[in-house]
Amino acid sequence: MTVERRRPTHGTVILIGGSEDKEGARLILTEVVRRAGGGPLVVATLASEVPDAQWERYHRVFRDLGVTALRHLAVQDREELVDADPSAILDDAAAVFFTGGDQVKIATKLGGTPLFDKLRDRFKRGMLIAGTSAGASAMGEAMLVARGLEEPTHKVDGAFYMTRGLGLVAELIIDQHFAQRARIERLIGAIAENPGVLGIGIDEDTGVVLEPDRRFTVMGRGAVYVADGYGITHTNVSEKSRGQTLSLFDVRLHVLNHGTGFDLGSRRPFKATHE
Amino acid sequence: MAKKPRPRPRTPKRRVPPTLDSHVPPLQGVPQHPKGSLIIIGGNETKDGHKPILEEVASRVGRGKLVIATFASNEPREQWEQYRNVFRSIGVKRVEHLDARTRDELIATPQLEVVEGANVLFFAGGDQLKITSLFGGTPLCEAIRKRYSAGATIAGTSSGAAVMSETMLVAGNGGESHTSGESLRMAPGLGFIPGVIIDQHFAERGRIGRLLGAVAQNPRLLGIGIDEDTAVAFDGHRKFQVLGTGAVYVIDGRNVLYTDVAEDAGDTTSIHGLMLHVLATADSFDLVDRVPIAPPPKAKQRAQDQQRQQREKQHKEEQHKEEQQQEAAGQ
Repeated sequence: MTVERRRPTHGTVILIGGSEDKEGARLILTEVVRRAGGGPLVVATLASEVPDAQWERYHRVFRDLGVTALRHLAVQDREELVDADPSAILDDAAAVFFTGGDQVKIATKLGGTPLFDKLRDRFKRGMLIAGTSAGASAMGEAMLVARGLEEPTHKVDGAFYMTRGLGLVAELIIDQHFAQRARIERLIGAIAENPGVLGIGIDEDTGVVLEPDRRFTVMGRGAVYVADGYGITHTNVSEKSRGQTLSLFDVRLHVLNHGTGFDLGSRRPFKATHE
Repeated sequence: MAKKPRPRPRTPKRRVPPTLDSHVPPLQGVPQHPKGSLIIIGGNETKDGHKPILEEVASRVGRGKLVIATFASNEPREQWEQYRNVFRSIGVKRVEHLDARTRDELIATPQLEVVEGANVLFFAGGDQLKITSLFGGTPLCEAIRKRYSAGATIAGTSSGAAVMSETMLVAGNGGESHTSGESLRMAPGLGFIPGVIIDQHFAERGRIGRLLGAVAQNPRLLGIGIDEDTAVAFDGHRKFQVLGTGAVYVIDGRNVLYTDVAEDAGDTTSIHGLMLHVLATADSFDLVDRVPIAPPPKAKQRAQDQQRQQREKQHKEEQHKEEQQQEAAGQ
């Protein structure tokens, strides 16, 4: 007899493309609250320059949506996190919500601290993790960071660089504010460097709910772009081609809207037929 | 004993070489097998220093003349003077101007003599609807088509590029995903090249959303998005090659399995199973088989060297400028 191998190894992840609705129907944030199931929700403003303002904003929204236990995770620098007692903030938390800002800050502050170990441990036991904008980007194994000057056409090793993210979702490179900031070029450029990972570009006010069974569904107003480099037949990416315009053949591209989804296992999109 | 069924005589299937015309019927008036070629530019092409695109356009002039059409522009005179000077500096001897402000003006005096003997017709940028509404279906348009089928090169930049296809994108917002039933306006173009839909200023204006929407609405059309200072050169209807500093995005919707572009107006469109190619200078694309082709190593090397030299030159020029500025500031 075989042991059930497809045991979920982690909780659900909700990735949001930024600028999610906070006033009207609040579709995505409602889903975050529903999945958190009323337990303590931790708002992590590690990426932000204005953590207090962000905390106040999300505090109000989440309280309106019925969350009673809210905690704020914010630190000026890494030192505070190294010494912090992770149990106090995470032990009984049902969800952690990462706000936007600068994704590098999340990774540099949190990576390798006892708090992160605790977070990953809780995540593996089923805790919900959500992130918006930079908070979504930081979830990937590798994350895209702009070099400052955003050149419209992607040059090899040009407008962005990649650095290590938190690695909570493997095999994905996540980009946000996608259509609004016309980021397809840099996502495709990232896929070219490693066709083994899937590129996911999320529009504003749009989210994906990634379940432990490695299927995600899209919700919200915009679209989610999935760029699959599995069938790439040719690329000019190499150390030597630095600065040249990217050339890349046979990228599979899917545009998904609210209700449709994607299976990371089979790399196939699916329609909203079952619920 | 039952008779054995006689085996059917086998007729070997004749392999008919596929041509684009076999599945894309050309519009009336478009030559099936034109001798001419097209150079379609994404706008904002380099006009000083090393200018590979305009040099390519100029190289097609030979001993004939180059005609610059400024129908799309609100400032035809300035535009004409600018391009005239650029092409003169490349060494084109005979450059002529083609312009009209109203359609009846163009019908009364079709200016056919301007087009006669022209080896290259260059459509400058502006408002693409002006080009088609002013000049589509006029005797002049017909004369240009005849030149094209006889071997002339038709070049166009920005909106002058959009009018080449049988369907052109007129309006639609950049920087957002396509919404079903959205005001993505398309209009019939001049139809020099069948089976494609062309968008320009592509990466610069974040236009992938609207081109994806256009392809989803009819996957028969191949979507071609051209960056600024980048061009595709067609020789015949089968293949094009990329030149310039940016990229060309080819969107192939042939294998799309699902889209809801026809449903629920106002919802973001879902499109599953698109194929995307990003082509850089010296890459080409086969429109019949819908496959991209990498350049042979030598040609690639040459193109790369050229690009590098250009970059270095630019860098030097910038440095030089900075130094001069610093000197000026120092004084």
